[in-house]
Amino acid sequence: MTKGRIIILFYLALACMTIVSCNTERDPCLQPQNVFLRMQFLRKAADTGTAFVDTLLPYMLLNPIDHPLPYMAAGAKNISAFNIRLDPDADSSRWYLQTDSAATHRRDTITFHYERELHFISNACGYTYYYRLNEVRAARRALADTVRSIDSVVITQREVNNEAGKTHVNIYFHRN
Amino acid sequence: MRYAYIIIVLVLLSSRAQAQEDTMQVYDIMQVQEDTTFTSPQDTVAADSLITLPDSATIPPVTLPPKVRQLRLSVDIAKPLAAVLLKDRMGIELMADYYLRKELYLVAEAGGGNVRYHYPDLSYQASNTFFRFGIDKSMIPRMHPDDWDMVFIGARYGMALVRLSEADYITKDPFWGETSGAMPARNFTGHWFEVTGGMRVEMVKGFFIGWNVRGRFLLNRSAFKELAPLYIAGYGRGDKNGIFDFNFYLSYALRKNGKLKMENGK
Repeated sequence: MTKGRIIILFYLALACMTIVSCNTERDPCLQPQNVFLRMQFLRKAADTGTAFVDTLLPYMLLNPIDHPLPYMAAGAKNISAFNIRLDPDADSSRWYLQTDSAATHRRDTITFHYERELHFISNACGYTYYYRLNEVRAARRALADTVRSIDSVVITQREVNNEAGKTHVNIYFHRN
Repeated sequence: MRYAYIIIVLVLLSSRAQAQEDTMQVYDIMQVQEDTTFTSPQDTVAADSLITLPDSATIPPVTLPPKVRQLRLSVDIAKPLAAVLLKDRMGIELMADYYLRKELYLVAEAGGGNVRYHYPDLSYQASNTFFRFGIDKSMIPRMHPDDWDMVFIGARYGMALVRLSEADYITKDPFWGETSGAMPARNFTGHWFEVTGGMRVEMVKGFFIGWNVRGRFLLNRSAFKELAPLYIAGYGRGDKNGIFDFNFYLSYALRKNGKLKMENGK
């Protein structure tokens, strides 16, 4: 047997050992599994009346109406954008929004209507749900009170998936 | 994968070293007279320190008579070996290559396998059969009569017929909780292109060992979008667009009119 053939056999054995040392554990999930709908809070600029600027909600509280547990246990200070999770078991999701957590009578209701799409991420991560927004509606509970209440909502990005940094809904508030 | 690259580099280096060694052996067989045949007259370097070959100095090629044929049957031993440890999958790969002419081989490969993926959030089974067709081209000249050793490169087209069972899944949302369901069973076809290289060494007459390294590139990624099986025999991981793979073969060759003849009549 030549030296070359011995070398070949050596690499053959080495490669076989490489194979049998393959990791038998499940691969770690490295892709993002969480899917968030991102809302941006805006109001008309005071000077122009037409341009819109981010608005800071002083002590915002945002929670689902049809869920026994709160999404936010306490109000968050000076929020201009917020991420929520849509209900993967339903085609719509209702949330109430208080710009000031102490003012319980100033609740606006936001309803998201959407389609769900089961999405395969990977064998390591399994499945998750993506969403396609069809409609977003806002209703003021106290019609007479326009202080910091919602003026309108606009869908800016219908596809809600695991891409980070995209704003899906703009929520416009009255100037007050 | 890191080990794979290391092995590829080492093997290629050893192949090159072996080719150089074999080349020198051929020169020995030819009983080269360095002072009369291969030393250029204008060469001013001391003859005992350097042999300079003229451009026309080449190894006499060995050509095979047109009727010489070889059919080599190979079985991959790496996949069953891997299945011993990776108990969730099994695969078998067979190869047949047929010598055409001018160191060109027609190659057909086939096999099958299955995978059982069973985790709380995702569970399915998949099985498949596969076929690959292509050519190999030996890159080293025949050194002596009956030399069927080869270092080769080649290309393949591959196709797998995949049967995927119903897949049970659970999605977990930290706020809304779990949802579960099942994706229906389906059949689909995977296509890929691959480039390959390797070597075969005839250990005893008719019996070979050898290996292939392969780079595969999936051609129809969309078929794997809904659920890509973890393992597809003949391809590898279904959730990868491009992968490397190894095969280690034991082969037996059937020959017809195997008499070889040097071009110069020796």
